[in-house]
Amino acid sequence: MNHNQALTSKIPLIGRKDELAYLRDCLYARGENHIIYFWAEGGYGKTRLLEELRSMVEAGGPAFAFSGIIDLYHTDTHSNSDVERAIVDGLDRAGKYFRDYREQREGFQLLRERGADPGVLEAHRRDLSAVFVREAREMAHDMRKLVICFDTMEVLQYESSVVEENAGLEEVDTRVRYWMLEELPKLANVLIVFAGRPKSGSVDQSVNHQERLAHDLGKAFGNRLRVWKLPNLDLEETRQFIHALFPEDAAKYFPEELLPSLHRLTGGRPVFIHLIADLLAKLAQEPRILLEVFQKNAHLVDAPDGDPRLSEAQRLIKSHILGTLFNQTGEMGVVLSNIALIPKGVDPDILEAVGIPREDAERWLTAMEDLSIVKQFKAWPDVTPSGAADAERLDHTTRTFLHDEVYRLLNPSMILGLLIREKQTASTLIKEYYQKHIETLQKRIDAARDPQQRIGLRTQLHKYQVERLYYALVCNAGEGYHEYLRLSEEAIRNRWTGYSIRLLDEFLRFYNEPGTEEGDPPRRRARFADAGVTHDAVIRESVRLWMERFYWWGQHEKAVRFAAKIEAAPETFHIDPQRDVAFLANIYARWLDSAATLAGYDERLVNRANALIARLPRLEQCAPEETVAVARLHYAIGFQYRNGGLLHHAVEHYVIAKAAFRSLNAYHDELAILLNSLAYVYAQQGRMELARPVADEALQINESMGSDYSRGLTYSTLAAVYGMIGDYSRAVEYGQEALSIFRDLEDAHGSCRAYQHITHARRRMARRQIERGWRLDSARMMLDTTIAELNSAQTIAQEHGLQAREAEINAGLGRAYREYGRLLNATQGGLREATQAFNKSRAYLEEAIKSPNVDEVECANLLEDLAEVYALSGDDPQAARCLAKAEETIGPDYQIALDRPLPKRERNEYFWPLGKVERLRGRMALERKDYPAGLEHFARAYAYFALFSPDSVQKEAMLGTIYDYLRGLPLAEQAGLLRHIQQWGQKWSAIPELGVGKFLDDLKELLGVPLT
Amino acid sequence: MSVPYESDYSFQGRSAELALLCDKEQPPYVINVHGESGIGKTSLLREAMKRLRVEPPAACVLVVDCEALRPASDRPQAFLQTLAEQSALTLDRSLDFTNMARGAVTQINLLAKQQPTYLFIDTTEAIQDDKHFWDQIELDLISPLVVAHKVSLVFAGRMPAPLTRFAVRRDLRLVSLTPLSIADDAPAQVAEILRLRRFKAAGHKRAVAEATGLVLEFSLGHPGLSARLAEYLAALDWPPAAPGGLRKDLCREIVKPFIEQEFFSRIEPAWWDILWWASVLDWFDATTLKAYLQQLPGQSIPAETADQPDYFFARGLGQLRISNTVIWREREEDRLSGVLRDVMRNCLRVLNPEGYRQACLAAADALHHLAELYLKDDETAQAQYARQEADYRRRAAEAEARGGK
Repeated sequence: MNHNQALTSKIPLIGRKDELAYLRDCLYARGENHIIYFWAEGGYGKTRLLEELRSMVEAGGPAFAFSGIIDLYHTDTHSNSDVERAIVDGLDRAGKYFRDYREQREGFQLLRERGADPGVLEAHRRDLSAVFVREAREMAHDMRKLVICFDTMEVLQYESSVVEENAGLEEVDTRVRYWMLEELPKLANVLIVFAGRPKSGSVDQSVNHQERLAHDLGKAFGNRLRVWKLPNLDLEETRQFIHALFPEDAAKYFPEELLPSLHRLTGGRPVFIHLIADLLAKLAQEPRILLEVFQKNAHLVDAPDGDPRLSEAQRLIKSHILGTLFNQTGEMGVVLSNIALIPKGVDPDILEAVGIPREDAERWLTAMEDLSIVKQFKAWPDVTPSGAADAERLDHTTRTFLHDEVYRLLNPSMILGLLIREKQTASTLIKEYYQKHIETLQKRIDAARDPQQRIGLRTQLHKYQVERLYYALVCNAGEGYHEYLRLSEEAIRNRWTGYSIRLLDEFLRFYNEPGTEEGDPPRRRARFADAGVTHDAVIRESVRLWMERFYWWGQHEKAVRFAAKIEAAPETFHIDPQRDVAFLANIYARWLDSAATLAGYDERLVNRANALIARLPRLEQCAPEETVAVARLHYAIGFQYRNGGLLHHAVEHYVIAKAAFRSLNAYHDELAILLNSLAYVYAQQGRMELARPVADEALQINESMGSDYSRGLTYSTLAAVYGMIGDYSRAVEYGQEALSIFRDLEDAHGSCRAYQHITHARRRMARRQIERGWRLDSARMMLDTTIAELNSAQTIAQEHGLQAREAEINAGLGRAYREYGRLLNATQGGLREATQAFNKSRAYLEEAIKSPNVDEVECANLLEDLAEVYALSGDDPQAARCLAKAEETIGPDYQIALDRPLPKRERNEYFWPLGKVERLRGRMALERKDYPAGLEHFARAYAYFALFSPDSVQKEAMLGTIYDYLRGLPLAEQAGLLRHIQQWGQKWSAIPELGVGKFLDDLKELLGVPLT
Repeated sequence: MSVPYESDYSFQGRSAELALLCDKEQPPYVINVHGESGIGKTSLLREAMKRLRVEPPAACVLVVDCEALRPASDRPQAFLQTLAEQSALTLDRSLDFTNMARGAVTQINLLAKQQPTYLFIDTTEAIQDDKHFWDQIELDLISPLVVAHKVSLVFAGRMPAPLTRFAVRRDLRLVSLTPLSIADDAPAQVAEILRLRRFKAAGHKRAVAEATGLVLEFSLGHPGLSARLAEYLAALDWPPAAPGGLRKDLCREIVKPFIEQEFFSRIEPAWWDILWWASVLDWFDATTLKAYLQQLPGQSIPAETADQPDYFFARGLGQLRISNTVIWREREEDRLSGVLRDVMRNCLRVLNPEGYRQACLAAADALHHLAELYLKDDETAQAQYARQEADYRRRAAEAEARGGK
């Protein structure tokens, strides 16, 4: 892509001999890497120098590849993936080298459009970068040199240093700067040239951005980097410049004796020298007046820098230039004064929107092409679209811009009438141009079923939204700011990372636009304050948005680190812990969520979150922003509790969160996530009559929002729910739906999870049939399918390095083979095969146990599973050893014993495997007809399951197992057993938390044996 | 040469301009005199021509009136022909224009060796839009004359002539003619006209002063308008029977027709009304003008604006600024040019005092509305708009207090 086909090559390149010589040397040094950063104030000819480099490259022939001058000012290159694409399109116009990259990028865009998991997108983005580097190196191998150019580097430096440093933004790999510093150093045989002006910090910035950038570049590129400050033209070069502009008798246009004055008053800046030449030669009605200014101030040639008379004279020159440009150039002045108010560029469509007939607009734009201050940009002029998405994306419109310095000269805050005109123009543009395009594109996107179609449309839509944002800020800073927040939230939660960063950059550029004179505050700031948007509020919102980005983009480590910094020193971010409770609650919510995702339940965090909740008003008294905080924080606390197995508490908080989200009638995506989680917890509690409708509601929301990924998650949840209910057929159906979606999205996690739900359900179906001796052939087929699917899942997990999933899948295979062995054991003549199956089961389970990704809970579960295999194999002693080891893994603090204090309750999930251990012991005892021992073990198992969750499904399921064993016993023996267990259980019943009393009552009722 | 007024009036004022034009000691110059209709451009040129021809060393002054060239099918040729007729130039009509012009330039330069030579080109606005004419004349005639630096050139028109070549523009000096000084030159002009036109109270100083005052109240020193007003008063009995009525008569009979005849005749009719009302405004742009007109009771916005909200005003103002110089731009804001605004405003105030008052209120309301709409986030700008709004309301109150006197 060649963003800048600017016609500034009409400016003759004067001077810069050293720079050109160095560039030439670098260009022809095959195999070496050179990186140059040219910097200077505006109008010093940086872009011209890059154009000269382009000419050099073109003159070198086809053995050199040039990326084009990638102007970072343009909205199209504000994320790393955009920049990669720009480089690829520029270097490889014929499409010969970056085939893999282009293909993968299409796939990546499709995944992004379909709403894939941020982790998946992140992995793809990293892959893309790796492919980019690989194919760039391959190309570099064939070429004499690859040349990559970036202009307007100052746009990389905008976030408030406070937020930037504390949010660790330099590490946010979606940002262009980070990508440049990470990926570009990996290239080979390349000349990389950066150009930009030093960004002047505003009064609240603590960092010198220019120094920082130079430092970062130095760190990334080491001694291959050269930082080069472009000097102004000296007097002799100024003379040459004038002579180049007026090859025939320059003195006629600009008297020789005035050249020193010209040089001094323009600071030797080519843009002004050329502009003055244009005015003299073509535009000004009375060139004499301009020359008289130089004449009158000729005595200041030797005045020192900083001399107030010199500053005044320089200001006067600018004023004359402005006045001449806009007032003395006839119709041209009318056009220029319009264009100066439209800094996002104009074309005939845009000028027509502000009321200029198309033919007039076309005529004027053509007439202006030759002016030195006019730039035109054509995006992707010669690149063939690589697919349908590209065809939409390619923007062949030429837009006309003025040089930055001209926009700076025109300061509406100085001229009152201009202020209204600027706003009126912005308002008209929004209404007559941008809104129409945006609405049309949105309709087309909504109507497009095929995600591939949507990609290009969405790129266009985002471009228009970013430009429209600028004009919205011009119209009204306060309203524009709220629009920025709204658009950003939408971009963040939809994971449109490039778009989100473009919005951020657009806002910051506006907000930090420098004042007229050096040292002045940013010129637009006062408008925000006048509109009630204080600087403190901007910092706070910036903090909030970065937390949102980290959260929604799956960067949980960053979220946790940043949140901790905010909590430790809120005043650094202009957060008042007393006043900004709702704000902090939102931050906390994301923190808890991310922490749970990374490391599970954290009681300290939950306690602090609960304390914060207590400081918020009751839901019915909440203002909207407080309601959002309440909703999110309750959800996050619930999520923590869920991770800790405290399902009852999880539900309490989820229900409040649900009410809060419903009252907002917004944030439906978050409501859907909540409902997914709530359904899962209800299912774990056995409350299926609640789990199902909640999951269905989540599904409806996801389908209406059109997010495939979220639908996949809900189907996965439904598969788990129905698996827990025991409706295994439906569990398999939902699991397969989820699998289909996650396959399309190339989501390895999702696919593996779906496989696990499907195989779990199938395995349980098979086990049920085996235990009942029903349809054993069908059970065998199910187990065969289960094992095949688990092997498929294992392949996926291995390919994607999902070690945690590998362990889970090994566990699944272990369990499947166990059932296989159980099946073969039950059928005549299958003993040897059963042994083989049990051996395989043990091998898988032991492999799973060894995995470092398995925590103590899962380890204990696996040991229990292993024990069951040994028990089925007839090796009770080994089974007993495994069970003891499972208990050891959990530790004594969670074990029930009458001679010990009650177990700890911090990690409820520990009780789950302990319950299973006792349950298996109970079975084994019943199997060897030691019924009293068996019942005792089952009673303990019941107690453990009750501690895990008062509503745990497993408690009731055990009664069925016991019933199967005991129902055949004589009544007297049954009664005897009950008496035994009643006596045994008396001491346990005295501890109501253990819930044994209920077990005994249920057992009594089930057996129906009266006790005397 | 256009002669708008009686040529027996003596020339008043313009001493600085005359000094500039008639200083034979200075090197040859290029001057473009511009100003609104009736401001005295042609009178100035005529006076300069007279002095240059009379005062030694007698100069050769060649004059071309672009108005006279307008009907010609070949205007460059007609231009040369006009020169030839005044100076006995020999034109070889077998040649193409370029070569013919070259011959003319040589002859004029030769002439200039013998005596100071001047070329006056008047009423340039008459063929302002004829790009071909100006390109050709500038290339083949004017530019060589300027480069040769033997002949002084003076252009005169409502707006600066469309000269593009640097060789010509390099030394160009724009001279904008303003109304005559109210302190001396303007009263002197009026007094002379009253005398020449046999003003009935010419012997009475006080009456003359009153009449002069009345003229200048409405002309503000504009020579053309002053002359018309003075001629009108000269024919009346003095003192007037109804002074209040006289002022209305002056506006209705003289000022308004003068404005419309001299300034508006080449403007689209849709703009006439608009410009009258625009005179109430100190400054405006397309947005402000439209907002103001929308506030005026009974005023309708032209239908063209229906789907292109501002283009009518943006384009119209642009054209008026460029082609008619009825509008000029100061620091990015527009206003009616020169003294025209104040003349029209005065006239409106007299002829339609209630309308004027309403217009002041409309201006105030428009500024208020615009500040509400666009300046909510800028307290400084709001304050400025509020001051201007207050000023218009004060004027409305004053108008009400005056009660149309």
